[in-house]
Amino acid sequence: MVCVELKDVSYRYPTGEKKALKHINLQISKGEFVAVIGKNGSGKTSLCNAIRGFIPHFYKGELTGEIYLNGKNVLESSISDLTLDAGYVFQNPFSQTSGTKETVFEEIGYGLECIGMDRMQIIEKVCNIIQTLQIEHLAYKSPISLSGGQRQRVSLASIIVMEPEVLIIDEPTSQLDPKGTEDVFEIIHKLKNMGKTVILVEHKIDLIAEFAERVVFMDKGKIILDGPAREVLTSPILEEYNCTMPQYAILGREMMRRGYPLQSVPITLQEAKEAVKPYIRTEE
Amino acid sequence: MESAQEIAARFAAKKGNPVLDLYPASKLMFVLCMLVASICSPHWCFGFIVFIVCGILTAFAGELKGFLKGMRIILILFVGLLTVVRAFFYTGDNLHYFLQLGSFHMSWEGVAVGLGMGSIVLSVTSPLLMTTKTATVEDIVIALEHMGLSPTASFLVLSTFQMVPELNARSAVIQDSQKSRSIEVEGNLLVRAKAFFPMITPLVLSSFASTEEKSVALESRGFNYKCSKTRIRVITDTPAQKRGRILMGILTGIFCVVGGYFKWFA
Amino acid sequence: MAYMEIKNVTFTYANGFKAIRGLDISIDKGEKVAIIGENGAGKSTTAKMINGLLRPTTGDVIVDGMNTKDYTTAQIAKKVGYVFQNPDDQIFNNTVFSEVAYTPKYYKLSTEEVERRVSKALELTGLDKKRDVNPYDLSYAHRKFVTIAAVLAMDCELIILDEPTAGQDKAGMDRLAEIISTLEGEGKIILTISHDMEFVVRNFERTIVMAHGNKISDGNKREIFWQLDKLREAALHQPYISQLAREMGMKEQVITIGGFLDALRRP
Repeated sequence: MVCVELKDVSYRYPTGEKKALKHINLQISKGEFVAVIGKNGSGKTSLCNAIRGFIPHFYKGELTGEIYLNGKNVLESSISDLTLDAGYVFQNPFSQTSGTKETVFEEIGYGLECIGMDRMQIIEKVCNIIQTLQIEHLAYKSPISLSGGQRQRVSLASIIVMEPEVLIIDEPTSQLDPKGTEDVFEIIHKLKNMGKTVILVEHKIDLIAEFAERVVFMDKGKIILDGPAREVLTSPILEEYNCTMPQYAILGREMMRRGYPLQSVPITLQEAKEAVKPYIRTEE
Repeated sequence: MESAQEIAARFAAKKGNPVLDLYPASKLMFVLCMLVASICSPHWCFGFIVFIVCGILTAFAGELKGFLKGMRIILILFVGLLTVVRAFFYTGDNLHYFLQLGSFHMSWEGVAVGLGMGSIVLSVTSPLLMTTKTATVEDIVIALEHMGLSPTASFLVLSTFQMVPELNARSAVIQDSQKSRSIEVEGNLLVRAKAFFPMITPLVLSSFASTEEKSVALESRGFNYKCSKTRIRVITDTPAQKRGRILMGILTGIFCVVGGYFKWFA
Repeated sequence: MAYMEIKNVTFTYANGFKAIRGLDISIDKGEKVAIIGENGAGKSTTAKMINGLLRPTTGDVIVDGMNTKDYTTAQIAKKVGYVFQNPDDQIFNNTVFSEVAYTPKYYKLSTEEVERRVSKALELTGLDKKRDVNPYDLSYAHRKFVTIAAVLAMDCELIILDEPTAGQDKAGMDRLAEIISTLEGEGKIILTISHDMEFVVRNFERTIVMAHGNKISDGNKREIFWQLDKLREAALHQPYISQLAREMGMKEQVITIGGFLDALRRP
């Protein structure tokens, strides 16, 4: 079942000289985990904005083409109408709090209050998500006192708790330490296993290699590559566009250049282990 | 982590203190009632009695220090100064003077009139300050919502209140950033004046920039979703308080009529 | 004598949280040092004591002979430049040029000197063609480089980069590497706080590991990234290539892809 569909979408911001999106054609099925990669300014965030309807409803500007989310025509629905269709976690952790709640617990439940859910149900769901994301220690703190990394976790919780069909997550780990980053990727992986559709924008290409199935590579508003992670992340086109590859892919390609007969370029740790196994010097 | 039931109770918490647990509308009704009563009251003592009663109630709630701190300015500036100024400028026949400063005379009657005005100020400010010290902004807003305040208006009030500590926190970070660029921000008035733009501009500019994103973030969480909103936090009204408020309303009406008659017609 | 010394320092925040439990670090001129550790380990607190934003609760921090307790932050900032994580906490001028030129002008330097410093900083950060642009018309990543340029124009001896790689793409990372290399050539001290192990391996030599307010390891990156128990205590990972080497039981302590390839058998 197709969850997200963009048909020949082009877009220019009101103050933009160039188009932020150029002839985008994209289809995402229910339950897919799609990572969107590309340089800064390549259009990744604009793509996410379009799927969620911020473009054109909030940011105005000129948009051509069609956008469908869960079967609904995004151009004809308001941002509020699509609240339960797609949840959006923004890049900047400081601009996502409601600014009206005294505790993190209530902050996470804010969206559920907005959609009129029963009070006890809200409390149960918020409890669950707090335990899943392991942020019990933050539950009764004031949202204002949180650090950037803590805010990122709370924002993620506030969106996941609403159980939208599609989750659009824009660079959720930029302020997190390695352990926090790993935790977030594991949660996203869990969401995927629960059948959610996840669209993730990230620079941490090595983790994308471990977790994502499908990767979309963008540059200057266009989709350059769109396919299985294995193909996209090892494509020489990434090098041409000066985009990093996963460490294991770089290793694999260099090994091939030096004449090692690898069957394919590895992108995950497991694949790398198998690729290098025959060539490891053991203690003799 | 506690169970959902325990958390639900926490967010409906009765603090066990009768003053703290009063439904905010009751406190607001009290403010109105005292305002009208003091205007219509024949004696200047009324406001001071209200002040003492509010002080006792606030002390019962454990917030006396904050209450007195807030009232200090009001007592000195409004009541004290007002009384003295009014007393000096009060004119009339058969006045009993007791103090003379140049060509200005102060009479006991003038002092009484001045105190009468001060009494009205006290009658309003004491219950108001008591309310703010014994009820959170959120609870007051929830009470107003029950009475019909729109979600947008309640959002505006709450987010404005939270903006202050948020801006304070950001100012501290900005201060650190500018100090790290060799910009002196602490010291005498001249130094602080020079540091005005480096301090205020990032605050204002980034506030504007973040407001846009905040708005879209709120909308995407369902701010304008078409339905009536629920809340995790609840406050409870009691039938006794409801009756009390109706009684206060009736009393207020009586004060208006009786006091008005005596003040303007008798 | 070391340029910067942290001697027997502890630091407790006003709310009672003991962020630094006992720290001794000395850094000499020309060093490139990375501080790694999980959030809350005390990295930023340490950095802020070096530039004088925070004064140690006990112990001393000496920068180029100056004890930070005896000077204002703004005075110490002449020697120690700090690039914060969020550029929007610093920018207040309406062109890139005026933003970068602000502190040199504040120092009352000659117009020629200001121009020289600003041009150099803008070129190094790739903003030379954006002199007259309003910083808020630039992307977040570019604004980060504006704040880096502003600190470069201060011409400090010691420069602290707090999480410079957050949100940067490859072009940004390459530019950071160039900046660090240039500064090294000028004999400056560069200190970074980072969560990006590959960035640390690529650009820095000495690595300090912090955990729970203590320094638990201090040495060359080659050793540090193979002290598995210390890394575990600090909730950190090895660089990806090192993880592979470890999993394969290699005896060489590899931290780069080149090093890994050298350790393999021929095809």
